[in-house]
Order: sequence, then structure tokens, then C-alpha cells
Amino acid sequence: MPTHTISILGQNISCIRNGRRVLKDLSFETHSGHALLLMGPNGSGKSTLLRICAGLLRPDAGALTLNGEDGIDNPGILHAAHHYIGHANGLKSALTVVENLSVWRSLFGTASDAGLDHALSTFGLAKMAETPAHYLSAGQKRRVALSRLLLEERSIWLLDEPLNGLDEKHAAILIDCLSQHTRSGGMAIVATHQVLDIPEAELSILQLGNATP
Amino acid sequence: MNLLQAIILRDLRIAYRQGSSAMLGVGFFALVVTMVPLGVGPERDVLLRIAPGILWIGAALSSLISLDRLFHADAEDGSLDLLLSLPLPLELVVLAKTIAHWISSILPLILISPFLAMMLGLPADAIGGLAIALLIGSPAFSLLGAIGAALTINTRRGGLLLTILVLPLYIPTLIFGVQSVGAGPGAGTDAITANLMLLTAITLISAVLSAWSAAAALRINAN
Amino acid sequence: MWKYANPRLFLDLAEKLLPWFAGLTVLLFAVGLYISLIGSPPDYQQGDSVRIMYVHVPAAWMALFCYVFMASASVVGLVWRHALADLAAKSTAPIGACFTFLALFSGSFWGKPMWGDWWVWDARVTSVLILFFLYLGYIALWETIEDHARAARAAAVLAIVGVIMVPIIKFSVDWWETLHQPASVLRFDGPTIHASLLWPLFTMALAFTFFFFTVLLIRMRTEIIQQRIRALRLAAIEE
Repeated sequence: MPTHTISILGQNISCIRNGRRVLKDLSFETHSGHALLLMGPNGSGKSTLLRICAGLLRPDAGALTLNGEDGIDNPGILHAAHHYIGHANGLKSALTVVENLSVWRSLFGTASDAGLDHALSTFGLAKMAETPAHYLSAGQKRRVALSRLLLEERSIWLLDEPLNGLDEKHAAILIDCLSQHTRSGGMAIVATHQVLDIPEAELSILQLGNATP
Repeated sequence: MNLLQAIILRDLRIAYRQGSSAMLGVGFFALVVTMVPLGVGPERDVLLRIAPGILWIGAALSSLISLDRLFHADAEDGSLDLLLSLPLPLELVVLAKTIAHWISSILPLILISPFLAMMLGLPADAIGGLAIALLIGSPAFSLLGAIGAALTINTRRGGLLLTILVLPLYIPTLIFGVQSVGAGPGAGTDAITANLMLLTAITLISAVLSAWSAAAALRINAN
Repeated sequence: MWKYANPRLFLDLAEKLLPWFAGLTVLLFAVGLYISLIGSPPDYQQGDSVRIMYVHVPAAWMALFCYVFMASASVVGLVWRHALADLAAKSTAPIGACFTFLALFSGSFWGKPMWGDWWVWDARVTSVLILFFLYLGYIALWETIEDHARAARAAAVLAIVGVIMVPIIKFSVDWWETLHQPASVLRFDGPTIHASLLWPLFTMALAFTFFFFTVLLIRMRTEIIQQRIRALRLAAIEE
């Protein structure tokens, strides 16, 4: 469990993609126990902001700090602290579910089998553990991707439309995971088009509009 | 080190599961080598003279087949983000993926090259020399190819563009590789050794160049 | 024949036929190998090397036979959507490829003492090599297309194209060979083959044929069982 409190501060972030200004002078703050929902129409820059927070994309202007340290020139500190799940699932279709998880585990450098079993059982993947990812439905693939969150404890969860393809049952499971995560001092930034009601989490919504003047 | 190993094992496991991709490269290699005698005729001395060149060109072309998937597959399914977020310099990630590519796609080519060399009538000592030269020189194919693969990761029809970008970079390896097989006119042992050393130097330079530039290209293209 | 499109009936039939086929194969091989290796005289020209022919020639025949068989099965599968025909075609390919490889391999062992070289770019050898590549391409196509039904139809088209192209390839390679006549090639079409060589040859050819059908039945059975396993697996993850 992350014991110390953490905070991410974004100031005056601007980002231009394909010649279009996607984010303009955006500032936000988030910290332990907090879930920040990014909402807005398509193309409003939700995914872009998530990728900036993940240290995968460099904004054209502005500052981003993690616990006061600069995360733009030094994205390594962001990388080590977050789980980022984009709209692509990161699954290798030739490998089985359990092999995909083992690959992630080896990349995270964690060795515990307990984490793996926990991840499998939480998202109801035990039955399909030995099935190649290729045979899974869209929702099942999404669940495998989300199970990555539980493989290793990381304090920042960055989720891009995590509910895509999930049925109600598994959406509820994800909400439950988010609630536990924030309760134990984690934080989450979630791009979503529907308000997630996460019990016991400090919830705020960052409405992203069309930044083009 | 553990992380490097994890990336290499990951890529090898995927390559093994997909199986056919390595075999496709081998098939392509064998076919290219077969087409040449059909094109130039089966005269033994002609074949003997051009055999090292055919084999090296064949190996170079076959190595290109699997290269366009090197980073593209990861970019497509989103796992590239994961690789970009590892607590490991991106340069080393590139090297690890390149090593896996060499083992899964080029090593099989080297393994069948003696048979193809035999079919072209190369004498036994030249076949041994060819295998050694390929072992030393071919890692440059993976390494230089990685630069092209990283540069074209977001382009449509990246595979074709990759070929055009990368083949010119293969020229030094090709020249010294063919020279060191020893079938060249009047090639003595000293000349072969000199060529092998040059080949080694090119592979090492490629490693440095590739790690740096492919990582830079990936950072530029990741968005 | 249509009755056996039902996998269940086919499995039953295979169960009954297999012991007979396998038994015949073993028997024919035992007799064939004995008369070809021990019971027949060495050739007056080729010496004991001629014995390689008893493996080489049937293998080459089978290489062609398998391809024709595979293509015929493909036609049945493509035109009448006969699922077992698709399976038969799929199962034939690796066996045919092995026979082709065996023909090439044994040929190179025969060529070393006879032609002084492991490999000669002779027209016939070259066309067999190309046949080998066609087999590999066919197998690779099956591997690459994930959906079984689609893979079956695509592969069938390829097999049929191959049948049409093979004679043309063969013809052009023959022509190529006459254009560049190499100096060192001895031909193996001596006057007439002596009867003492013919017997072992035919016995071995028969043994190879039964071997093929035995392995084919086993492979098809395995394919059917594999498909079932996959279906069960998929059913298991349905929710």
C-alpha cells in the first residue's frame, strides 16, 4: 500500500496534435484518495492529457509535477509510479491470458504468484487463463488489460475509457477496485464519458471543452 | 539485466507462438536463392562466383520481412506504451528487441545457409567461412533494420518504406560480408581475417547507432 | 462418401481401418526393405548406390501423388463444402512435404557418388524443389489465417492454382535446362530397368502409399479431435 501521500499538479498545459490545439492552458491538481474524472466530447483531449500524465507525451507548454518534482523532463518518475491503461489493451493475441500477465509481471519486476492469482480471480479470468488472447471477446480482453492494475501496487492509475466493452458486473468490479485503491491512498485519473460513482473516493470532474478558439 | 532478459524472452516467446514468421523468412531466403540459378543458368563456375553475393543479398532481404513488425506490432496493440514506461533506458529496450529479432528471424537463416551454399556449389571451407561471416555480420541487419522500423512505426505501408530506408545501410555489411567468404579472386587468409574484422566493426558501430537513433525515433513517434 | 462428412462416422471408420492400414504398411516395408537392401543384386553400373533409388523413386512419386490428392480434396472441399475434404487436404500437405524432402534428400545422397555433387541444378531436381516450396507455402497459408473455414477455402484456391501451375513450371524448367545444358549431368534413364530392380521398387512404392494413408487417417483424426478441444475451450469461456 502506498503510505506517503502523493500529488500531481499540472499547470497551464497546452498541447498541439496534428496542427490542432487539443489542450490549452489547462491546470489541474490531484492527490491521494482522489479520483479525477476527465470528461468531454470526442477530441477534447482526454486521452492526450492522460498520455501527458503518463509521461508518454510531452506537452508543448506548461508544467507537470509529481510531488513537486518535474515530470516533463524526467518522465521516469511518472513511469515508475503509474499504471497506464490506454484504449489499446496491450495484449499479445498469440499468448494465453496467463502468459500475458506473466510477461507484464516480468516487466514490472514483481515475482509474486499471489498478485497474479489475485488479478486473475478479481476480474473473473481464471476460467480463460489458458486460452490464447486471440479467442477472447472485446470485453474479456479489456478485463485482462485491467487486471494489470492488480499485478503490482502502484499509486497512480491512469485509465482511458476503462469501461469500454465491460458488462455491468465487471464494471462494478472495476469501480470496486478503484474505490479500494483510493481508500488506501492511491489516486486515479480516468477518462470517461459517464460519471463513475466511486464509493468513499474524493471525486472531481475536469470538464474538457473544445480548446480551439 | 533482468528486465533486458524479460524483454528478450517475451519477444522470443511471441515469435515462437506465431511460428510461421520465422519460417516465412527461411522460405523466402531459400526461394530467392533458388530463383537465381533459374535466372542466370546452372553453370557451375558462374554460380560459384556469384554464390556468396546471392546468399548475402538473400539473407539481407529475408531479414527485412520480419522487421516491419519489430515495433509496429507493439505500437498497434498498445504494449509499446508499456515498454516506453520501463525503468530502463529506451536504448536498451531497443537492443533487447533487436537481439530477440536476430535470434528468432536471422539465426534460422544462418542455420540453413550451409545447405543453400552447398546447392550453389560452394566448397566446404567457403561454407564454413560464410557461416562465420553471417554470424558476425548479420546482427547489423537487425540493428540497422530497427532504426527503419522505429522511424516508420506510424506510417501506412511502413514495410515498403522501411525497405528503402534500410537497404542502403546494409551496403557495408554486404560488401565486407561477401569479401570475407573467401571466394573472391585471390583472397588469402589475411584478407579474409581483415574483412571479418571490418565486419565486426560495422556490427558494433551499428549497435551503438541503432540503440541511439531507434530510441530517438520511438520517442518522436510515440504520441 | 457424403455419409462420412459426419466426423463421428469418419472417426468410427478410421478406427476400423487404421489397424489394417498400419499392419499392411509394416508388412510391406518389411518385405520391401528386405528385397531392396538384401534380396536384390547391385546394379552393374551404379553398384549398391542403386538401393537409394528404392527410397528415392517412391518418395518422388508420393510427392506428386500427395499434391494431386491434396488438390483433388481441395476441389471437393471448395465446390461441395465438404468439411472432411478440407481436413484431408490440410493433413496431406505436411506428409507430402516430407515425401518431397525425402526425395530431394535421398536424391542428393545418390547424386554425390553418381554426379560427384550433393546438388545439381538439373531440371527435374529443380522442379521437385519448387514443389517443396509450394507445399510450404500451402502450409504457411493455413497457419496464417486464423479462421478455419476461411483458411480452408483460401488454401484450397492455392492448391488448385498450384496444380495448374505445376505442369507449366515443370515445362519451363525443362526448357530452361535445354537452354543451359550443363556438362556434368549424367542421366538416370538407362535402357530398360531390369525386373530384379522393378520388384523392390513396386513393393516400396506400395509400402509408401499405405504409409501415407495410415498417417493421413491419424492426422485427420487428430485434426478433428483438436477442433473439438478448441470448441470445448471456447464454450468454457462463454459466460
